[in-house]
Amino acid sequence: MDHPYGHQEIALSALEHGRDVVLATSTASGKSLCFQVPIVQAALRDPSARALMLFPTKALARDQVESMRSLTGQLPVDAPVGVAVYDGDTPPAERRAARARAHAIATNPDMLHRGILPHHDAWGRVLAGLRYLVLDELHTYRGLFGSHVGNVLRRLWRLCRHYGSRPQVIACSATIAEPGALAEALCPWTRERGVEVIDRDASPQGPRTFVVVNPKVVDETTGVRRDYIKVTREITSVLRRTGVSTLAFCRTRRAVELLTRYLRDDEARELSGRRAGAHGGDEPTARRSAGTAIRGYRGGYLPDRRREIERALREGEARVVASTNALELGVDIGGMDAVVLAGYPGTRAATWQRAGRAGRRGRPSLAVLVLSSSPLDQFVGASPGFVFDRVVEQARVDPDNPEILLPHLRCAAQELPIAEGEALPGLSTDDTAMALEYLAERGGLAYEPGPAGTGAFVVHGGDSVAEQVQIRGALEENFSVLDEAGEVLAQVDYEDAPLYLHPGAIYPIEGQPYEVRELDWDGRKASVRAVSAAYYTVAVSKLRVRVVDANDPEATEPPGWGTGTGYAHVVRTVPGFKKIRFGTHENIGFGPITLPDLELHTTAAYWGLPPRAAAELSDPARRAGAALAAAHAMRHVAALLLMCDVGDLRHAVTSGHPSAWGIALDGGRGPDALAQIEAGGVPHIVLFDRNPGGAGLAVHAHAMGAAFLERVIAVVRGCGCGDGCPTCMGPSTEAAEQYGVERPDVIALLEALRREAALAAAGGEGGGPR
Amino acid sequence: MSLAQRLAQRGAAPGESSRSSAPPSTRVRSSGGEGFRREEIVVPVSARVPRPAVLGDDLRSIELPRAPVLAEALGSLARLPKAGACPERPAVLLDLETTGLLGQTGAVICVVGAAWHVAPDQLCLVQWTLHRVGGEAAMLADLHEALVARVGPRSPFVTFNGASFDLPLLRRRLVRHGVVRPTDDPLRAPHVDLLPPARRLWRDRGPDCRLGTLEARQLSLHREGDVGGAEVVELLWQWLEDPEGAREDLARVQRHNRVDVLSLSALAWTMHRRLQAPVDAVERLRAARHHQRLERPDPALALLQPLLDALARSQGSGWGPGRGSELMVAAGLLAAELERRRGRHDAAARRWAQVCRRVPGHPEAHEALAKHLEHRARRPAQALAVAAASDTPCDARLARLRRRTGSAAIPPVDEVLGAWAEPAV
Repeated sequence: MDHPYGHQEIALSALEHGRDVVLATSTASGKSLCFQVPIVQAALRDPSARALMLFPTKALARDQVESMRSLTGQLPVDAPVGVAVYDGDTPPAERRAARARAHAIATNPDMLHRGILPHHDAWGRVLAGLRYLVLDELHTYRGLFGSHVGNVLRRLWRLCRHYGSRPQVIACSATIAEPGALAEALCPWTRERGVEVIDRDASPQGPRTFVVVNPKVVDETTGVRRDYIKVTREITSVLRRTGVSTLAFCRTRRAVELLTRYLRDDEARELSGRRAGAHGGDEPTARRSAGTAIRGYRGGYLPDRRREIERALREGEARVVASTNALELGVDIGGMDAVVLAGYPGTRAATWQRAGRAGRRGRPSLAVLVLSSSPLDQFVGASPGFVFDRVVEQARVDPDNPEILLPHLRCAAQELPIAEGEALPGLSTDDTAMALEYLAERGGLAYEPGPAGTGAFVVHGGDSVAEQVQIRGALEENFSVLDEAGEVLAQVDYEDAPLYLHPGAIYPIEGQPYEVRELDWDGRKASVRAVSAAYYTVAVSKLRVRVVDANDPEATEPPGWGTGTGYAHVVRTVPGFKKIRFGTHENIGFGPITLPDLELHTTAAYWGLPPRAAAELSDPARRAGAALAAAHAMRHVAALLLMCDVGDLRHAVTSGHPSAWGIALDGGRGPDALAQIEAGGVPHIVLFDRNPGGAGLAVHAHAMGAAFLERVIAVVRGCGCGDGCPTCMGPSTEAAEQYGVERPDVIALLEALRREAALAAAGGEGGGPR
Repeated sequence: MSLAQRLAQRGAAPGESSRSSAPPSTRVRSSGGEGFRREEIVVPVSARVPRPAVLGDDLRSIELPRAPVLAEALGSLARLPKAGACPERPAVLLDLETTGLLGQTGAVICVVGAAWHVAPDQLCLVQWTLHRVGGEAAMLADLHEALVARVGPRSPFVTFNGASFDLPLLRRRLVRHGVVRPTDDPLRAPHVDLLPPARRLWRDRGPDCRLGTLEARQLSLHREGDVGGAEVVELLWQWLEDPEGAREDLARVQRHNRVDVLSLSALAWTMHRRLQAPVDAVERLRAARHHQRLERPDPALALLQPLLDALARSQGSGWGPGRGSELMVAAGLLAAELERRRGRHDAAARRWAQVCRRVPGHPEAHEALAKHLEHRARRPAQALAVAAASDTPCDARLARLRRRTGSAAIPPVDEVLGAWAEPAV
């Protein structure tokens, strides 16, 4: 490196002095070089030096290895530095070579958890020589997943200690608040020396223009605004015509497909129009060149297609790409001139991360945020300072959550018996002992006494414990989308299959519509054929929640109301779908869907509105709306207090006690009429854990009792906004709008819940009549 | 909230009731100590002297090899740096019993048997037994110390399937418990794995090549109340989880392991004797192949001699292919290959010619002999005659040879082969 940027220089010098480093500079500011260079240097100085590089996805690991090989390829042949990928796709012979010879090994947390740590004796050489531990895309390790990763790193650290190494941590993060705190939470041992946080970006940055566009109101009485996808289409087309390379970020996969199709239509019409003037029309050629210049990009595309689109972007062949957050991570696509955000991404961190894709070395760049008519977007429209003046959100993890810590302790004990008196990294000796005894009492570990305190906690049984611990929640097999020749076109997540792959659905890939002819649920595949449909489909989903009281599982007669914790059975039904015309977005038909329901068994907590408070809030619609807003606030505050991601929890409002099946309102989708009516009963707020089996989050929030609700009330009351804002009363949905939520109602409802919780704590009388 | 509070709260959480209802697997045990036990017994090699009672009756009538005999046997079974005995450091017979397979996370080494001669007619058998999972590190450290003192550049390990199981597993567990550093090879010694030579001799000649099968078929060793592989895993877990209740079962595994270790020496000896004196022509040919694998042409050719004699005798007698012919032909081809490898090309050519005469048109023999005549003897006309007479002639070779011979006369193939017709000496 002849001329490193200032922040690179600081990072390299801190690493040279043995510090642990967190880099939180912008996209494309040369963060990768800050770990590549020290790794190569260490390997050249000492051929037994090793580095482990952790990436959240396989694709990122592969990209990084390619980029690093182009660096090591310039080294003289007598000083080779090996770089290798080690993940689930690595063939056995290459695995052996990676273990034996590679200096830098790129892998992911899942592989570290299940493939490396349990077999650490085969990795002894690597672990003994470990000089650097690279955590790229640190900000993705948050919430429950991040808490699992923290425990995987805890186990890694313990084994490093065992083999006598103390690697330096190099973490790279997108812009988040307190990146150093996240690094320390994931790697508590770095607190000894303190982490060096480098967040001052010294890469050349041109002037950036940020424009917020709020589409104009088309109906004064209802306040409905122009469709934001259509506005995004127009803005992106303008940029396209002027030759500005543009990335359009959409919030959903469907929006990506729509936008890709619209932009290609515009481009092709314009091209053939232009040619028609000069040489006579040539529709197919225009379509082809539009297909090359304008691309779609999202999860679900096959890896080959994604690599090809990335290449086309880097080489400038593709000029406009519509994408989901799949391109938000560090996929190497070079810089763009402009970024258009179709809808507010939901967090300030994601907004800045996506906007950061625009800007090439010192050249001016443009970011345009097109607001949708959702309350959150409109809130941003009314007070843009919400995005620009406040600090970005913090990524939170809680590796000491017992639900996560305990299974990883079992993994650790299988890796190496845990000696009596041993302190696991990031835990005190007392806490380690307490957690181990807790497990031993319940049969999760076996305690084997030895003379003079030499006993140990061990795992009995030969099956791998790590195989039983899912760090990303339960994994159901993906659905494959097959064309008529049986070729795989795309992959769809299990939970999304009923929404996108029901028979009759239009499933677009880069704008090309395919009609689903048959869905083989058990075989996990859908057969599609290319069609030229004038419409797309939107599935309607319905949520039902039932909570079985943990203390009284036999109870059959549902009480009128109550509060408590229990096992939740959550069912999402997809009863039908709507056909929506391209262009106008008008509803032109409806079809039924008969598919298995998606079920989730998890843990939950619920809070019923006490009857007296219900009587005071007499209008059932307002009551339901206030409950939904309160549920939203409770979920966000719970995530804050429990150090988890907001997405790790879900909220819903049932009409009546949740021990009886009832249709629930949730924040995600507009409720149908039936739900509205049913919600006219006594609303119960339900928080449930998103991962199957639960992680004790909702239960924990309930156990905090009145204190928890006080925090929620403080947030709703103390927010500086006028009529309620996304922070205090919830971003989403038509639901809140339709019900007309008012802050005093929400506070009154929360106060009633708080009083009840305080009563229960004082005299055990709460919890409602049974 | 402290971890203690969170754990206390968790006790009442849903999802716990089912888990806590499971019976705790922890029991308070009196067994302290190092976590393992080492026991030594001395075993006389002669079947006439009574054997230690812990061995049961399994080995009662089995004669074990004396030290020099075992050393000689190992020399003939595998390539060792210096064949022959190193009397002060004899071979170490080794066998592990584990709670799982290689590469399985929960595979703990639980019983280790190792034996070596302490006198020409006496073996010392040391057995390590794990008493709790947490004792593995201490046990392996003790085992490592004992082995390092025994093995060396001239003192091999002897195992059955140890190349793919016992030794790699032992190496990994030694690294895992920090007994040796990952960069060290803890067991640097030659290794005689009895499975490959056993396969070479007896493949397809019994139901399988497992140690128990070979013991029964080749050593007439019949075990009473023995435990099978899968059963061992189960019994060992029972023992580690509840030592009191599984003492009897452990004793069965321990005896199984001891008999395994000792029968290794008997098996090596038997294989050695069969290599010297095969029981039939098939075994004779396989024994020769074994020596070929170890690049020992002399003993291989010596073993083949009776078959080669028969091949030579059958020359020109007008016998068609018949019974025994395949073995003779295979012996001829193997002998030719052995001769060629050590540069005796004429001797090799004679064997190929014999095969060609015995089985006219034999592709492999014609091909090899034609190659020899073309490239080494440089007689293209004769090479062409031999190549053309193959059942599957190679067109490229024929074309090339035709170009080279031009208009020269091509001798009849019988005349060419007849040049090697004189009986073998």
